[in-house]
Amino acid sequence: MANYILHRILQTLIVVLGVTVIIFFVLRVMPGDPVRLMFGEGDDMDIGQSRIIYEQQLGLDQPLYMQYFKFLGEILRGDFGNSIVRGGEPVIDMIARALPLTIELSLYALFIALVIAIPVAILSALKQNTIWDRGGTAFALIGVSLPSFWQGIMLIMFLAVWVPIFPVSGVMDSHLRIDRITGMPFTDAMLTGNWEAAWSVLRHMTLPALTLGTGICGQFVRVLRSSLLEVKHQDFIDAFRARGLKEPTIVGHMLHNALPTTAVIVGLRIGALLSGTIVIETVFAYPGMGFLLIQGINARDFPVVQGVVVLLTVLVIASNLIADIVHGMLDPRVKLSGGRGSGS
Amino acid sequence: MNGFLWRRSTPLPNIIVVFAITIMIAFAVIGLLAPWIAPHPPNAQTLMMRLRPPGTEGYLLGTDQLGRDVLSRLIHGARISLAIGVIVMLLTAMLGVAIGLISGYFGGVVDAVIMRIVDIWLAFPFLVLAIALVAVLGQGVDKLVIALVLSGWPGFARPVRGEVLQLREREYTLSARALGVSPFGVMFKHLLPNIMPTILVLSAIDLGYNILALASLSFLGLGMGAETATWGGMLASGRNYVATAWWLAALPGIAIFLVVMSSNLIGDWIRDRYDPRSPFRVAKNQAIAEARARAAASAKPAL
Repeated sequence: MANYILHRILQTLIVVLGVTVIIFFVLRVMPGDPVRLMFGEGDDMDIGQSRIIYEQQLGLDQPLYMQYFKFLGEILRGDFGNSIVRGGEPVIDMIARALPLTIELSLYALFIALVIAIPVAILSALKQNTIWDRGGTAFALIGVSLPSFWQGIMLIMFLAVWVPIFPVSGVMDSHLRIDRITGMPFTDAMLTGNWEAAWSVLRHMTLPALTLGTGICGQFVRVLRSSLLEVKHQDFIDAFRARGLKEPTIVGHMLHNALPTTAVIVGLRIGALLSGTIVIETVFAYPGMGFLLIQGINARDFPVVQGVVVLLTVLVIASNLIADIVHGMLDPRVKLSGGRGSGS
Repeated sequence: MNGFLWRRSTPLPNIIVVFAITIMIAFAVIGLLAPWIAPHPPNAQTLMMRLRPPGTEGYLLGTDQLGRDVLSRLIHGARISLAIGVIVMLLTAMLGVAIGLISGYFGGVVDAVIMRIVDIWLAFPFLVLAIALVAVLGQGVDKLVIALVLSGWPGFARPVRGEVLQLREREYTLSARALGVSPFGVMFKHLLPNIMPTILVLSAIDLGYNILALASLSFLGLGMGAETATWGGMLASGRNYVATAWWLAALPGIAIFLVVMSSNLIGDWIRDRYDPRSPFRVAKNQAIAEARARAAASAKPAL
């Protein structure tokens, strides 16, 4: 097991290194002239002297590989540079504010997705080829095909404008304050016993989380259903039935066997979840990582874009790694296949 | 190829697949004929007729905040979405399949290097990479296509490579090689036709994916100018009017949903038909075998 984990971590480190190379090329080399990019394409003004200063500041006067190592060193030290736009605020500070919001929203969305997916999958697996199963499959297909931002807007329309149950946007009501501990608003409010703020945050997060959750839950239903079907016809399940175990207990055993695959899918879908937050945070004006990214792009604030892309990607890689390790722990067969747990 | 396309084991696809194919064809025809069937030019503004609800005289699906006809913009949006979706799909498939073929066929160091690159590429969340590329490349259809192709190719390369790894050990590949067919001859003449079903499935699903990604990007205001009639762009501007003009945001979303769902359904259908490992196929083969056995059993006493 330790060997497997070590192998996977080593593999992951190589991937992370490769990712930084690609990000370096996409965001630093491909734009051609970052100084021009910073000042905007349309400007024909003479930036003469300040160009040289900027080039020195960005290290553009050095060879490419030196620039890359400098870039890598900065990332490792957590130094993502300063925002060009917002009065030179360090990017890492902006991310420190945005990241906990996105993580909490994603966790809430994941919770909603599982709460919906598990019963639907069980129902369609147990009643295979009935109307229930068809309904479950159709539900999964619709979940996969619905554009999440449209779903978000429709939810706003129905549940925030026509029937104003939930707020339209933001993190919480503006008169409330939460003492910062972890940076995650709901967790902090709960920790400090600030129930009013916790309730407000929960209500603000429900619509975006519901949108994100239903978006990924289609995939969960598909995977969980098919792995439940695989287990359903195995001998030990028949043996349980023959021994007269109650149906819920049997379903529990089936779930336990379908768990490893589902854990991996959850881990692998974190990427989709985080991609989804980019769009959904924009829809709901929720100031997380996605909102930061889009603002950064619109303001041509490249240090911010770079910081967000690096962190989001590393987060996705880390969650894939964790999913693989968890899979290895839950399913002893994985170790035998020489550390090639996931990825088909 | 003919044999593959004309092979028919079922009398007709089921009703849902017919529905999906009909929707796809309908959108394709609408997109192709857009300039002729749209009742108004997509950017023609009639400021006297702003935010009219669907059913208004002359404006079947209403007008937007600038008095532009929503139906015409939807029709032109279909043209743009499908055109870009198909172009991206073709380019992604070509690039991904070529890389996958080379990686799987040559194996060894080439394969190891390419697969590491694919691993790295797949580590990026798809949309994050596409957004970063579009942000760097700037506005324009061509740049959008490049960004989507560059983010999407590993989705083809990895499954194709997996398939090739199995097929290159088959007798027909070995005999082709023994007869002195060049590596590229083997790849494109002998291996490619055999992985066609996989490629078709991936392509159908990729098309839906591209259209969704394109809509997301134009919703975020990336890729194409605001005046271009894209479904995502219409949604983005319609978002500000949800309280007063529901049709602005609702209709483009339904169009996106229909196209994406249809392409997913068509992809699933192709897989069920041509992938012998698909559960549906296995179940059907079993059913056929059982029916034969039963027929044989009932035929025996008569003999």
